Amino acid sequence: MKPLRLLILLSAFCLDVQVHADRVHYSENKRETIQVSEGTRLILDRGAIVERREDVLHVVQGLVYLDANDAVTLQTPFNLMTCESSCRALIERKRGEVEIKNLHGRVLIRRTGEDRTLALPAGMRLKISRVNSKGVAELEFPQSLPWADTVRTWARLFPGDVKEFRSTLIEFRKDWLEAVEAATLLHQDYAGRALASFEAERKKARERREARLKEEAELRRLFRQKNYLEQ
Amino acid sequence: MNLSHFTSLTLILTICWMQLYAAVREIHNGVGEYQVRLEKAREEIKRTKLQLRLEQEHFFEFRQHVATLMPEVLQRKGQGEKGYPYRSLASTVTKIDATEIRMTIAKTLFEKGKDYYRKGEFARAQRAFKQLIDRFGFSPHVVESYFLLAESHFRANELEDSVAVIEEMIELFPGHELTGFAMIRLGRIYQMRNRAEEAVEIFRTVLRTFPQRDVASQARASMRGMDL
Repeated sequence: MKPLRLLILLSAFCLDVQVHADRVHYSENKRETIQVSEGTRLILDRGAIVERREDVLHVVQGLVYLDANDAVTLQTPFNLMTCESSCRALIERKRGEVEIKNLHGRVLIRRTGEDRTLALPAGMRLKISRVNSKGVAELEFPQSLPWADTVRTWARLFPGDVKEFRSTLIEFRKDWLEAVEAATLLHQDYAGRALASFEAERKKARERREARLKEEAELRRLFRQKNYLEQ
Repeated sequence: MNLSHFTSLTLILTICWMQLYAAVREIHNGVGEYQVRLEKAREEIKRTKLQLRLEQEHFFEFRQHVATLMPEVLQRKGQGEKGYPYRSLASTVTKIDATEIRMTIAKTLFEKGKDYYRKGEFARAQRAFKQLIDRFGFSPHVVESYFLLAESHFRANELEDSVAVIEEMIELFPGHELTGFAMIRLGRIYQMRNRAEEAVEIFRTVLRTFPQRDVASQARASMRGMDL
């Protein structure tokens, strides 16, 4: 009787997991690979959750690595990310934001609440967070990838062997160097603009202070004049 | 059958009997059943947690969708007394000036770090600069923060950490004037460690790469110092 009960229990559990696994992928203790299509796979780090809804994969939490050779679309509440043909990317989903690190190819990003699509070049990262009061998801300034951190994470999730990873990394290095240069220029430009606006703000404040001082001097003069007349 | 054979046989039979007894006891004492139940309960908790996380995600997604519609709804229906529920709902949405607030926080953090640095409280200064780099990477103060972080490590005699920060600066801001100054500091560290050739090489690289007058003159002065 007991083995029979055990068997029923075990089969019920297996059936449940199968039904669940069809839609939701959760890599609880070790990394897991989802074969999205023939040439496209998604590697989930420990603790990552991905939900499949029709043709779109929703990244619910954790870190995932996309290695795609076909068109694929990933979604979060903050954005829609499309890989047109061949691309590799690291996507890290946290509660209030998502960070996309493009490692290879063309990644198109459309933030929630906006129709415009942005292309994120290889070697760059972008953070997108909650929808703001203008009705669009907050977009941060794109930055170049930090080399050491990115390589460490990538090495952990890379599905191939060491030799393959090394050659991929050499290829990525070129893209990354270009991205660093572009990001430096962008950053300098942005910092320059920020400083310019800060300077303009200071100039305005100076002008306001000078006007106030002038007015106060005028008042003092009038006051003295009045007192003099009264004497 | 002699005595030794009889003893051996008895011993084997005893051991077998003990094994059998242990196995039967294991099956019928109910522990196994409890273990199965426990395992099942654990699996159930895991499934429930996962389900809950997914439900939260769907709700969050719905909220984000509602937030995208709010500006239009507010424009049409957000006025007057009747518009109060809409305005109330909109007030929970992240404010647009979040970026400005973050910029201000970044600036304050930078000023705080600089203040600690000036006072010679290097551990605190390092914490402030690291926080700025990690949380406000978009800030215009990020390059200066890297530079002052490297300097704080240097002044606190943490040369390894200083070198690591300078290397990161070279990777991320290769053309920036402050990177030039940081490289001169790197040359000095090598010089202190009796690696004169590498130090000279770094000063030469700075002279070649950085056209900025201040950086170049500093590099030249450092090289002259080495000749002496």
